[in-house]
Amino acid sequence: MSDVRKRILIVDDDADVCLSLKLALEIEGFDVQTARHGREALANASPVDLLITDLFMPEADGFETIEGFRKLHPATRIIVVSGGAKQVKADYMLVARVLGVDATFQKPVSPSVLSETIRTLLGTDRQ
Amino acid sequence: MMAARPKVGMSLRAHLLMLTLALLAPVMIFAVAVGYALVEQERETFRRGAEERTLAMSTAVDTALASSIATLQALATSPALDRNDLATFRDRAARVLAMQPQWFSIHLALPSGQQVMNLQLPEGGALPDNAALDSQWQSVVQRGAPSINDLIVGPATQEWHFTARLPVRRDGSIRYILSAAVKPDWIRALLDRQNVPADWVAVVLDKNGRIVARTFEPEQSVGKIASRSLRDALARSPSGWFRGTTIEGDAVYTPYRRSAETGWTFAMGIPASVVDAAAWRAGAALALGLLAAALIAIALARAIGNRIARPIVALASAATAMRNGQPAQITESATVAEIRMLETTLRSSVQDLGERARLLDLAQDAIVVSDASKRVLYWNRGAEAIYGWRREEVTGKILYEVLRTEFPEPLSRIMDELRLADQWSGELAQFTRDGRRIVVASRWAAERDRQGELARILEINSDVSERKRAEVALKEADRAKDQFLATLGHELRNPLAALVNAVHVLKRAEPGRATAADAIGVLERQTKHMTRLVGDLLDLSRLTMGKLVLHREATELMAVVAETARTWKARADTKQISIVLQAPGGAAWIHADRDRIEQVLSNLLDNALKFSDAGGQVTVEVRIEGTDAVLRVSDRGAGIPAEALEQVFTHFVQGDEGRSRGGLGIGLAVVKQLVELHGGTVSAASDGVGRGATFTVRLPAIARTVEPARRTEAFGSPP
Repeated sequence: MSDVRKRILIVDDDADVCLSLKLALEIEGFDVQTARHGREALANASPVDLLITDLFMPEADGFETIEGFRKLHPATRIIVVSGGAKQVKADYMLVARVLGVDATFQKPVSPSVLSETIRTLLGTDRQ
Repeated sequence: MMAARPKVGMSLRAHLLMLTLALLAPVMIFAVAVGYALVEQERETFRRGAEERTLAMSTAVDTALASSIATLQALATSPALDRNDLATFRDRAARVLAMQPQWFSIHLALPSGQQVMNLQLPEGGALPDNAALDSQWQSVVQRGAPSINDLIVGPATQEWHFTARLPVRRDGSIRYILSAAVKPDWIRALLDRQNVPADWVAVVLDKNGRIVARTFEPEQSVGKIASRSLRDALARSPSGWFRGTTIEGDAVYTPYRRSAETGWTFAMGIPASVVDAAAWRAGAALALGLLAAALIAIALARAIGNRIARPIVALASAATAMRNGQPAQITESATVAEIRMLETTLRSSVQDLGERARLLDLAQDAIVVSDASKRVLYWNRGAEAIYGWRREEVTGKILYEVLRTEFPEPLSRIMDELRLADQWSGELAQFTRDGRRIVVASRWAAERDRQGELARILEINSDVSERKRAEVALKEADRAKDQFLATLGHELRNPLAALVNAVHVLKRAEPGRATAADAIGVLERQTKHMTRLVGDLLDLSRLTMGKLVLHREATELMAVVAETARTWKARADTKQISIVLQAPGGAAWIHADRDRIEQVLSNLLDNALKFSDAGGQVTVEVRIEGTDAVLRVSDRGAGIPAEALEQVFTHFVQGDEGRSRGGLGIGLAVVKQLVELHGGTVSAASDGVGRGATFTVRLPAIARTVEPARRTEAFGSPP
């Protein structure tokens, strides 16, 4: 465990998804905050180390959120965890990677795998 | 029923009459020729008979004259002449004269002409000289043969008579000429005895052509010169037959003969009318026979013609009736084999055509025949069914005007194509009688007249409006299905993600800690959510296939609403939305499946909460309106665009808002199906985007007093 707990912001419109992921990552030792949509996330004053965001949400959607964070907090690493396209079968994950996202996952993703990825990205190996 | 007479051409009867006359004409001509020959032969026969009779009578006259000569010869043998005893001879001659009443005198003369005895003059008196009296005297003496002299008027008697003269030879030379003066009456008596028909005239002429005897006006005629035509004929030929006139000027046929012995002529005047009448009688009989034959032939032709024509006329009438679509009566009664064959054939054709006509009316397609200007000639029942116009209403009218047809290209171009290729096919938009616009698949075929010009258009139109709509609907359904599958994926992934996370937490968290409790809460909510999702899916499937069975009972709507609302309170609270219940009219009873009504309200609440933002309010109202129990769920949320109002109850369809707010898009579809299964209706209303939405469910209300026992039972039954 590192001395300074890494701060993570989760953005998802589904309350239970937000809540369960927050609980899971807290058990993994992260300092986790949640937001219900992109605008709320961008309004968050304190910068975070890592952003986990869904792609499709009411208010500003995932793409806007990603772009906003890239501008406001260029150092923040970004992981997309999405339920997939709702309308058509276009590969939105590919779009997200083009936008410069650090990692993409499709729901459901195992919290263990997600934690490993986060640690790798933030350079905070448990050992 | 009479067939309409064709404007051109003769009737069959007239043709048959013509045929009869054509056959009759040469026969008539032949008959007339034969008749003429017959008349001529009749005339010839008549003539020959008349000529034979003339010969006989001429011979009779000759014989009579010869007998006079013979009597003179007998007298001439008298011995008194040998002795020149004239007194004795006179006695003897007197005795002979007494026996010859036709003679009025006997005289004896010397060859010089000097009479030496005359019974009319006294013996011993002065006697006349014959040479002075008779111009023929010298020739009689020179010839030395008996002769009959021409008619003269006697100097003593002053009456016409003729003289028979006989030279009397003695010792090798002529000593005397013995003569007998004969009265012409004798010849007339001879003629009278021949039984000549009363209107005929028999006549005897001397060598000079002077009448000796005549059966008509005998006294006046004696001594007259014969008619000119007879004298002319005698000049041409000693015997013959000619048509001339009597001295009185009557037209007669005349057979005549001049005797070689006497030089006298016998002739008969047969009235021309008698001869011609015989000929004309034969001709008239023939003409009458011909006329009768012609009349009989025409009558027979008419009778036979009628027998031939009547069935043909009947067939023509039947054919006309058939063409006009009336029942055609064809009796197989013709006696002519070919017509009978025609009847049989036509009858089976009529039957075939009748079947075809019925077949045409069985077709569901519109089958139309029109002329080159598209005026309707035929219109089947299919056309009546599709377009709503009856046959008699459209016949003669222009098809595309009646149906307000919209052609895919200008009509003139279609007609050009039809003329070129004999057929055309394409889709037309048309309007039915009640103003419905339909799309038909149309196929045309051209019928040409004998000149090869387009005469009629055969057309079959199939109503493909339903198919068109179905195609559009199918495409839409296909798109909605793709959309649904994508949505389903998304909607299942979220709860799965939450479940996976919660399980992860529970594995690590110390039991009893708040973290574990939170994770269990997530598990509970998400499994319930997934259960509901799967339940909705299954319900929709069952509803769509009609397999959902309602367990209906008397149910109080407000009670169901209150209980359902309670289970949704927690969810509403997490979104900081209040649910307000209103029941101004009190209890509202319906006959319904309680669990399904709960499901209806749940879906409506789920929908309302989904589209409401924090701090919002959802109102649920129950009331009686007329005969309906009304359940109304209103929110102040996102609202529905007017153009989407109609589609909200279609499954898999979601507004743009809905997509971002989650859900499968089947909740409202399930609501609609369940409500309709209950015999109710559901409608959506919204003042527009951002102004909230109201869903109104109307179910038939029933009169019902509160029955707590049943209600408890209902509550106690498993969901």
